[in-house]
Amino acid sequence: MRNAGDVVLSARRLVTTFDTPSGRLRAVDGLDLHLRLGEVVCLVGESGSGKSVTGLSLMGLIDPPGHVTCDEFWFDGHDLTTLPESEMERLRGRRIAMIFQEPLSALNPSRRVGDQIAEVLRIHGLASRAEATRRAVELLGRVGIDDAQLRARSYPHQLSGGQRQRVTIAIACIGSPRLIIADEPTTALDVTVQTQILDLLTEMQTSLGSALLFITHDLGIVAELADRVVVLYAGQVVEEAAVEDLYRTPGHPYTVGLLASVPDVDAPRKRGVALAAIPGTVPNLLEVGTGCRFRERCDRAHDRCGAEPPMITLSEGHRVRCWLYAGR
Amino acid sequence: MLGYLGRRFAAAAITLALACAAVFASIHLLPGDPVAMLLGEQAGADPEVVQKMRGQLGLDRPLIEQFISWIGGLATGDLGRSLRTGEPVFADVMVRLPRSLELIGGGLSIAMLLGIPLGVVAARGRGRVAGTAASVAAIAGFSAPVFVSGIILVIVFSLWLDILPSSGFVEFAEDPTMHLACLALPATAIGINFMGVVARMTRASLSDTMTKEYVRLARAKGLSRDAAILKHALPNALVPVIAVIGIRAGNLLGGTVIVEALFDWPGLSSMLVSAVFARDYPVIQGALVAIFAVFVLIGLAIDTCQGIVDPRTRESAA
Amino acid sequence: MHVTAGPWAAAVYLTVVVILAVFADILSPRDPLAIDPNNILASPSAENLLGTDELGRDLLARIIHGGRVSLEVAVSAIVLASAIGIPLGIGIAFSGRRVETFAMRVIDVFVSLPEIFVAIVILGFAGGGLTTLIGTIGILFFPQFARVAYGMARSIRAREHVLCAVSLGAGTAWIIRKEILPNMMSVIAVQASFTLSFAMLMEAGLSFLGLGVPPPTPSWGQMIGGLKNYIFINAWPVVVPSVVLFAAVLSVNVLGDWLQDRLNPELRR
Repeated sequence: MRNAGDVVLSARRLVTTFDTPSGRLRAVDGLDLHLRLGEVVCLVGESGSGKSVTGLSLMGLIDPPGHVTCDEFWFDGHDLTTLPESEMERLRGRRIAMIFQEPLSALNPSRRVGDQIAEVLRIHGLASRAEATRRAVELLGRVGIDDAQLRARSYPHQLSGGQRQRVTIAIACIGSPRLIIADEPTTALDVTVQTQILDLLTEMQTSLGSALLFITHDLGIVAELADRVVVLYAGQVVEEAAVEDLYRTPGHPYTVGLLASVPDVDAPRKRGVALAAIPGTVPNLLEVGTGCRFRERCDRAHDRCGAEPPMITLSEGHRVRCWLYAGR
Repeated sequence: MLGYLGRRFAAAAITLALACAAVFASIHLLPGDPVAMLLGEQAGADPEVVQKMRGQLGLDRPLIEQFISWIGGLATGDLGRSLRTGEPVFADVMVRLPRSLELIGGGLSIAMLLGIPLGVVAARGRGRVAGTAASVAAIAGFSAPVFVSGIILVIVFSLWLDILPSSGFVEFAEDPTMHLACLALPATAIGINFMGVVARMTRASLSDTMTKEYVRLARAKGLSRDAAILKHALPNALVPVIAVIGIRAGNLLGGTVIVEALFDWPGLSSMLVSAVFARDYPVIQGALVAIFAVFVLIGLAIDTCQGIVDPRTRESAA
Repeated sequence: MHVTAGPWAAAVYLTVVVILAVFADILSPRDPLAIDPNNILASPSAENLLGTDELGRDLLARIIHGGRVSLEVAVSAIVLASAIGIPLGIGIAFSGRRVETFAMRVIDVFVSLPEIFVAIVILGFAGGGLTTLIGTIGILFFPQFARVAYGMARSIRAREHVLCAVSLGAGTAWIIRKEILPNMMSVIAVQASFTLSFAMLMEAGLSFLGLGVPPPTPSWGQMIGGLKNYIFINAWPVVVPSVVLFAAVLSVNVLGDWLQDRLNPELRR
């Protein structure tokens, strides 16, 4: 594990709900999350597990009908539960940044990419117009775009998929953020380009010394990238552990199932392993009752699973939400 | 960009040529002989007079010959002479054309200046009071017939407030202030109706664009929701709005028919309407050709704007 | 609450207008053609609930009878336009590719024509009157129906289960009857509601110019066209038909929007 620094983000009982015509949907339900400077945490889950919503909730970008509540929410010395929106805007882009899944739709089609990078500095008044442009071009070179001076004047549709994602990484990094949230940034890319983008992302994160929350469903990437892993199921954390512990001694039957679908844990270069190997699907979040949300797909389910399972600490930093470990 | 404009220009020229042919055909192929109709109103038109008149107007020649000579005249700026006044049609068209363009330009400016902000408020405030009010204003403007908004404007600004003339026209060179005062109400009347169209399009397009990922990224950069909408969503949302303005420019042009009649504005449309009532077919032809030319030119101008706003259009069409 | 208030009010208003128009002869308080030279351009009174026009005719009676003409023209024109346009659009969708391309080009040119100028020329030469008016407006609007019907027919035809039926030997007539017509009805209904408001505006505009139904038969547009000259004597009489017409067009558009949201929420205008 890389050296873990100060805690940069700490959220306790984060709940994100959406009011829909058919009722209130709890997309994220009581999530605890702690991130330290310099560490890479992977948030793993199937589609519908609430992992993207978690990312947006941390950014404060959930709009009505969505609603976020949190018992305790600290970021970089700010109490986000009471921070007014205007103050939050000053943090976004400068202290906390986000990278999205689809680089083409994340870039404004009618603005030059150099301007889109420089805009971050301009919004926060960190540089003059000329200085911002100069730094954008410089960063464009650093994220591996050849002929940056010329490319800065391109429009997004003139770049390749990999180049576009390099641009969005530059946008995320130019403000030197303390936390970068990356929501499946390689899913839309070719396999060959994926490796380059992951290398670039970790390189940038290391040089900035920031924390990286990497949202993915790809266990190959997790093994390669993560210091710690948080496994999300139906809006709840079911397991959290250092990456070695998780792969060596997975606790939750869901995690066990996930890992069983990866043929060889020691061959982390193998990517693209989906989580669909467990029969069944994530339950409809409108209909979750009490009890363990995984029990209908679980081969070790028993009577007690009808009650809400407790979060149990197995070892230092390894927690599981499952009745199997209760009363040990 | 130049190649793009070149192609647009060629397309516009072809459309205009086709429109000229259609105008000619519609006048000459529609049931009813122009001369008979013209003389028909004077009781007891005898066949000899009709024949003589046909000869004078060249209507006894084969249709194709008439068409070629008409097109030839068109190319040299000769649209024939009015049957009523004997004045050359082309000169009259050139005097009236700028006046109609003024109405259209004024109406379009008002429509965009009011319609785009209204559409933004409606899209931004969906489900809230301000948004609902803006949507209601948009559909009301869109539903108001041009002459109804015109009459309301006259009642408010001429009858009650007494600050603007209710109708009439003064040359700009003669009295610029009075000219603009006369222009104000008719241009607003056209603009209000088109404002509804612009506002509804803006709302629909912006509602869609607002959900795009790049707007979210703009907020992730630190922009407020409103700033992200105005700086990133709106410019992209306006691309299809401009296209629709081009397609619906006929509404504006059509609006001049009513407005010129209501406000006694001596433009192209009132020229057409009075010529229709008088069966003065050289004037009808001339006015229609000029109106179609304006229509095509508006389309061309809109295409150009779109090429400037959206970098992708330029390339795909070049 | 405010979401449903608009469409409700619109439906109530249109129902009242339609009932008054259909039963105009029974419900009209007075003769719409009766002239009273001693009581012209009057504001509302117990005698004339909505006042009188420039010839002293009762405005309420003329509004009721005028609504009949306005609605008759607009509705008939829409029926005519869809009767031509829908079969044509479906026909084009089932014709060969070259016919298809050519026909749609022509239709597109028609759709982009500034309708009112064409209408003015036709009516100017053919003369006003109920039939000409209906025919002209119907012809001007059929390309819009053709385009919508064509688009729907093509997309429905390309759906998987329809392709499947074709491969099993289903005939064109069967597909049109069983798949295309039932599936395109909601889109056509929305198109019809919006075209109806355009047709009402067109009729009113042409009548306003004096190219519509010849006097003394009233229509809303024609009444406004006549009364506008007396604004400075009494503004009231011209306001009455203006507001009635505006509210009718607004109601049709509000219902059209509502229908659009209910039937095809994915197709935002």
